[in-house]
Amino acid sequence: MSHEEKNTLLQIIIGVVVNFYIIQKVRELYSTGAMDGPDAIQIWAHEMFWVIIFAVVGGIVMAIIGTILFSIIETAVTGEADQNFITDERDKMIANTGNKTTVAFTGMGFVVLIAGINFGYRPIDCLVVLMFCFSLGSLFGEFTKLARYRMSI
Amino acid sequence: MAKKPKITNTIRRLRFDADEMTQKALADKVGVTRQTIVAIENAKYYPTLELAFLIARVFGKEINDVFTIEMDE
Repeated sequence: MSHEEKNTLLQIIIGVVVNFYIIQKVRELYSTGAMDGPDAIQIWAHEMFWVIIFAVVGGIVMAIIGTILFSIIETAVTGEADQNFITDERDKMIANTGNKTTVAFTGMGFVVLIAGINFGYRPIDCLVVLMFCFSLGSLFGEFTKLARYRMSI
Repeated sequence: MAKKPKITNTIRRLRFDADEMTQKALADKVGVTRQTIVAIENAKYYPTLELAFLIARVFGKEINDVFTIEMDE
């Protein structure tokens, strides 16, 4: 398993955690009635701002911890850890494929946002859908990358 | 509709002839991961022209001696 493939696996784990957290947070906001008040968009934006910060910082920390853990497991199993951190042309090609999936989801989210507002749904609900499309798109992009890695060996 | 041409290669045999050069050694020489060499050998990934030339150069061959295109009629 190459360095980039391991990274993809880690990003999937982080993506699952972040998506789970967003679902919990949004459910909490709806159940407490925070999404019905006049400050709904501001409250939602405040929560999502911290989710983004958490996802970025958490992602970096998890990538470092994950790389160390993978090295330890590899050393235990094979006797030596792969110290090769190269990102080559195949990695870039696979990353492009993953990005296409992510862009498709985010594009879809934007269309849903416009259509939703057009058909009279509340902007805050449409923004929630857009946010889900972003975070799910990122996760499915990583899944696409992993599938391409597994299929091309 | 025309079928996609298949590109085959002789890297496995060339590695064997080059003192059983490992996939890892070849990967290091051309600056890619071992997994990319595995994918190229199995024709699951077609390298860029640049990488194809680099691989051919490692074995001291012309690119045509390493990669062959097969056109289905």
